[in-house]
Amino acid sequence: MKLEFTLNGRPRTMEADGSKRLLDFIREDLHLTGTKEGCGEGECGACTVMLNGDAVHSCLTMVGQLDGGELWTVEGLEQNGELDAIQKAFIKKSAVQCGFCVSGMVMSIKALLLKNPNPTPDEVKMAIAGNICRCTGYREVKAAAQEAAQAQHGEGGEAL
Amino acid sequence: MSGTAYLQPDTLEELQALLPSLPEKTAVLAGGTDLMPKLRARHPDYSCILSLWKIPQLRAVEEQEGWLKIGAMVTHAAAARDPRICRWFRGLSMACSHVGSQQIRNKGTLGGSLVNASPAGDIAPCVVLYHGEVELLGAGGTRRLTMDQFLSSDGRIDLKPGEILTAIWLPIDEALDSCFVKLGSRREVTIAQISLCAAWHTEDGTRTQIRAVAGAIDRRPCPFPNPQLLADQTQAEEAAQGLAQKIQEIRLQRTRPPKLKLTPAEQLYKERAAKGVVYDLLDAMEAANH
Repeated sequence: MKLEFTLNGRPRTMEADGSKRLLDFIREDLHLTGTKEGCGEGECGACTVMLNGDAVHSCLTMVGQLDGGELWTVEGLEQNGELDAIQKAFIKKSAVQCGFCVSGMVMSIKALLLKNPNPTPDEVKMAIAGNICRCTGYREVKAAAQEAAQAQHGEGGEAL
Repeated sequence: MSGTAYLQPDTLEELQALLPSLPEKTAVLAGGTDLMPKLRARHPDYSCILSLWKIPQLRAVEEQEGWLKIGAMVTHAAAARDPRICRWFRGLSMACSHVGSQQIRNKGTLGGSLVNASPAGDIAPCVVLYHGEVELLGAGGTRRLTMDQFLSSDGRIDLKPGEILTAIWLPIDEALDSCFVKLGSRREVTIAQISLCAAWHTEDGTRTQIRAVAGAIDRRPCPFPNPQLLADQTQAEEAAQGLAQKIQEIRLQRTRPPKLKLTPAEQLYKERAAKGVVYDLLDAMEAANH
């Protein structure tokens, strides 16, 4: 099918198999390998991307569902050579160990902060409840989310 | 899924026009949160995917002649924040706000949940509680079924080939309050072991006309025995005992062995856990009145 969508802020038109998994399309056709496959069934959150402003599992999405939509992957967060506030906060708070879950975590937090720039600790917990980390744990991740929210306020809000 | 046709109509009219000529092996794609793992696990030979993703009418929530019509493609996240659902069907909004993870709530749909008909689904007990109905679209037009007609006692659904669930209709009762609780193996991103939802009126500070439904204890939602015991906290033990007995009856009537290998203690778990979830329900009902 002919697919028209926005990828990380840029319009794209291409031929694609509508029934392909969005995760495979992102990695194999768009060659953006920051999005990871963990469980492949919507349990771990490693493949989280933003579709039309919402955090979704790319492993549970068909490519056809992207048509006419807006897709953000972790590669789109860096703007003009500068990391996003969330990425900076993950580094500052050492919220990374093996790193496999991080792009999904970052995208879940990005979607949260776009809708809710000033989340409570409980709202952060809810937003990342579907992102499983098997090494670092969640304390640093939650701290990074709060740090990013504060940094965005300091910058007078941030456009994606 | 290479070689699989992918159909994605833009309107309800386009959808209806496609229905008579759908290949026999067509999978209907709503949010995809249940279908995608199924496709992956069982590799069924579907020749066609029919996606409901882009039909705006199926995403609408609208009030019509004393009913709230909830489009089948309304997501759990959208339902949880819809002001009319929060106002008139608070139990449903509570259920929707704790389905799966945020990613699942952003994509999984109410219609998909009903058609998937998992015994542990959180939406069907609420629709039963509110005496809701489902609207089905076929090539020949639409039909509306009560949940009792839609869900058979063996857990199957009355959805004919080429038929699509397009809306859930809930009767609006301004005086009705409701709530939902579930017991799972963890606090978030959990599947119900037992879910309970209740609805009631309040007269002179007293809960009356109480009705309640239990989910995940049988193949389809089950009426709560003696819901009048939920009028206040004083009869909590008796109410819990009634639910435990009901769960025991269901277990003893089961003719097929459970699919999961359960230890004897696990087989009795729901009966023993009933008390806790009844207390949770009473606490939630109490909180709703304040």
